[in-house]
Amino acid sequence: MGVVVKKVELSWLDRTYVWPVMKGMGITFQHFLKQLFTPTAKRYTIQYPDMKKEMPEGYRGLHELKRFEDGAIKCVACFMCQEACPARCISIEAEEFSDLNITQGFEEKRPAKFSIDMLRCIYCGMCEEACPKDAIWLRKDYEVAAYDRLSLLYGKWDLMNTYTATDGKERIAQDPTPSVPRRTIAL
Amino acid sequence: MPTPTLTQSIVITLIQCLLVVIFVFVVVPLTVFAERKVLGHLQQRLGSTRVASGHVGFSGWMNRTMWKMGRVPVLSYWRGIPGLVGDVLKLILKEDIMPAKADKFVFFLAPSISMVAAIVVFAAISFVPGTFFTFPAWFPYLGGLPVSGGIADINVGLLWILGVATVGVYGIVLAGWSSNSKYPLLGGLRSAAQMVSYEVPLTLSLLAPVVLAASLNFSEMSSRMATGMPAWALVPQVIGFLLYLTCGFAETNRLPFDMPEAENELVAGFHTEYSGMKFGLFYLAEYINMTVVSALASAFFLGGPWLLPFGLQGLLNPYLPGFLSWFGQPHAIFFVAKIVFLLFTYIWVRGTIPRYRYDQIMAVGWKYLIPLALVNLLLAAVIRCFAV
Repeated sequence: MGVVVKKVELSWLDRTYVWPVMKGMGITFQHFLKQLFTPTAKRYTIQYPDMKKEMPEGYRGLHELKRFEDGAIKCVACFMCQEACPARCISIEAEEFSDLNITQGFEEKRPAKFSIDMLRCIYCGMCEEACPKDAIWLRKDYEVAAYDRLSLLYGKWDLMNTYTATDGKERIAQDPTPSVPRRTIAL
Repeated sequence: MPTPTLTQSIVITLIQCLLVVIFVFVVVPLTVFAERKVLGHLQQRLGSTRVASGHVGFSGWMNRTMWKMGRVPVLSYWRGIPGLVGDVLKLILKEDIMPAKADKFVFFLAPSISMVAAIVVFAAISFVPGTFFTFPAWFPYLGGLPVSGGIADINVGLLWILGVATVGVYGIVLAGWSSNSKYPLLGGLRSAAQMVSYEVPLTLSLLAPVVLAASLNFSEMSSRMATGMPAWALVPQVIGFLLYLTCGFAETNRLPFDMPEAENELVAGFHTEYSGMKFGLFYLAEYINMTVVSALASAFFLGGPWLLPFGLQGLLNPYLPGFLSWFGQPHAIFFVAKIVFLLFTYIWVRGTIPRYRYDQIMAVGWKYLIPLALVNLLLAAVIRCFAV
């Protein structure tokens, strides 16, 4: 089966070649003037290091581990995100602690170490969806770069402080309650 | 007005040469910069807005200074300018590689031929008819002497310009051949064919002004074309201008006709094997050639140092009121403004029209431009016969 090719009949004016060229040059000149007289803020070009694009809602950028108002981590070290992560970039180590106001003497669980390898992370947001406590979420920051591989292995305190400057919160580097020493069970 | 002695006239000529070289070396880098900016703006981009980024070197110093002044450095329109210095420095400092199997002497000779052929043309181009300026009486040695608007306003000016400009083809062809490599050879071959083909309509389109003005002298031609033409001469001038501009684009290897250095087919065409300042000379020659073509077009068709193009000045001048008589006189500033406009047109066309195929270039040149140029010449001859 043949394909019917539609032939465009050019008018004699278009066949002169001079007129279409003039039309084209008029169009490009319009673009030239438009670009010349557009204020910088309205141009398409975002001059990156000095102007930054506001990322849309739901953008999945750098992670943050959320905290309570007293600075305690929301994460309960349930390992759901570690299981959900398709890139296997999250590694968690749990520990126990007691907050007598809440737990009445029973021990609670929290991560002693929580690290995300930013070189492996694919920013898919699965950890955010898996988290039962809404303790981890992916936010708008997209400038994750470093001079060596090791500094892209974000630890617990890095992840808790990723957005402190943006939100105007204070940086923390310590849990408000100490952990319970590990008990060894004598068998 | 005192007549200059031989030594004095030599000194004046040297000063003129210096002025022309300064003009060329101001216009060419600015054209390179304008090419980046204008092409960018034609495509809704910004062109070059910064030199490197960040904190090191000269540009870093400029950035920091502007931050200290409370200005955002990048947003300024002119911040790409230092890039020109960087370009030149790069070309000068780069390693000059010569292929082992290249023809050493010819390889060395080719860029200089291109460059010399391009810049020597300016000798016969007169920026303004008559005196450009007169040295004031207190000036040592040259006081009271006039400096004419062109270096050598000879009687065969146009012939000489065309002859020397054609030598520029040798530079390209020899560069392609002596590199001893297939892409440059193809580029040189193409450029030989293209430039020889387009030399014909180019010269034919310039013959119309020659016929109309009955002279080969550069300033005389531009004066007569601007002021001494009947209204009928408008038609061959407009047609001739379009023809000349088209052929000029082809002669200078600019886009729609950039066959000799077709990036997507021939790496970089005839200058593939060139690096360092040898490549820089080709680059420079291309832009000087653009300036030359613009100068010729503006002199013979756009009225040269007069204000109005296409001989309209001569029609207007009798009706010009006295207080506007400045606009009725030739001024070098008009000439330069027209050159700048035509250089803008070069970039503008580059940003608008896509490249031709090789056979299309040949077809356009031989089947349309040459007959059209001949018809135009006939028209000019008829007008010359009956109207002038």
